[in-house]
Amino acid sequence: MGKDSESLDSTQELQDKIAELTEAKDFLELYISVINHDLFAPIKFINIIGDHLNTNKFTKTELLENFNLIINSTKRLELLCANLLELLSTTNTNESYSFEPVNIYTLVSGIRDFFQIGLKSKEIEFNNRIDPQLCLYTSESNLSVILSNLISNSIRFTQHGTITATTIILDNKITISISDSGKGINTEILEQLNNKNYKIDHKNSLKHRSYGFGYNLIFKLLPRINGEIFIASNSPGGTVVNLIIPHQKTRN
Amino acid sequence: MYYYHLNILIADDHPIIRRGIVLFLKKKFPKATLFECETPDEIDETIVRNNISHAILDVTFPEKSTIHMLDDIIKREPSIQILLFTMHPKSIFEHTLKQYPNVAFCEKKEKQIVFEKLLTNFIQNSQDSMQSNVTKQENKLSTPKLSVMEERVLQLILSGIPIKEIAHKLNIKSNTVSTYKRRILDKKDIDNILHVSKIL
Repeated sequence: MGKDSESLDSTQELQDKIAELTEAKDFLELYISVINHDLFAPIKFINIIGDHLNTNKFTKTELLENFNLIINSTKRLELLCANLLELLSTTNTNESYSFEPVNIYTLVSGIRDFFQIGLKSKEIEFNNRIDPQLCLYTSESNLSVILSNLISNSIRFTQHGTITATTIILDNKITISISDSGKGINTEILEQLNNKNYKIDHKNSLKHRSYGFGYNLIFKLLPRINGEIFIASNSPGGTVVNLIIPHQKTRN
Repeated sequence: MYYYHLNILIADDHPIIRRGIVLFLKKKFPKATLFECETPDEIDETIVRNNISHAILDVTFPEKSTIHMLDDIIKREPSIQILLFTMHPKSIFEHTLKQYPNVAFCEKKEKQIVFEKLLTNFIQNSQDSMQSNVTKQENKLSTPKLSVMEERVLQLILSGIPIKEIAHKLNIKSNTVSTYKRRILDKKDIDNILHVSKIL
């Protein structure tokens, strides 16, 4: 019996180790894919555009348009680098993250300011309808990365429209909604995003990339703030993302 | 008369990559009309509406891969020239490149000077080959003219109507339709009746 029990324990340990290594390998493939597609290629083309702007004649309007595009891209690259660093830090299970009082209105305003040029160039009106007094205990860095990615996605898929941030408090839970009037998310991807058991096959990245790196990170960070996320199509068009987190007013 | 056009589609989910290609193409081919697409759905729509001659396609989009769209694109626009412009290595696409003769490849990792040369060759070579096709087609037009009946048979075949139905419509036997078809092929010096459409 003792030997059987020991053997079962080692089998379980082995299976856990395999699962852990598989996940690590999947994330390594994801990093490589993201660095290739979303970091290396855009940086290369920023250089190419810079070269064209330096060697050819452009009107003032064309120059401004190209500069704005470069600024938008570099903002996304900055966010992507922050995401990569955040994701790398999540692999360190011993790292502690602190809960602190966070003013949601101020946090969202800061993110809006970060994407100001993108919002302006795409003629997007950003409405921050969150109660300026609303404060809760959570991890500011995690919540900031999650909201930045959600708002970045909304900007990406919206043109001449609106993005609205609102909050609802119900049963000691706070729902932060980011809704946009953009072109919306493909139904297949929407289903994947709402399916908690869905796993992306990074080995078959040629098939399609599925949802972006931002959502991968969001799903990784959500447990840290005890959060959940629900994504739906917005009416009449666009997407609405509901982030639900405990409404913790004080430090536990 | 066959008019050659240069309508180039650039599809990539990164606006900065599309802009880099657009700036280069505007300088190199100022007369070209350029179309930009951010999603695979936009690619379909743009090809249908704009008589696209060249498509520079990123392969991996969040929604789907453009590799799975090649069949449909080529069926819809048989003369379209496609350049797969991707971060993936060429070895992955060997089968695709063999399967579709009008599909070329360029890796995004190439140095700027190399990729701009490849892009120029892609447009110019296919342009030369298309121009040479136009010349060949013009030469073919100087071959014997089709009779009225051959013209009618040809139009019906090109409309996709089966031989039996054509025979019924023209009140002739199926064998006779086949004979007309053979004469058309002989007169135009081609092996496949569908190639006639390119020289009309």
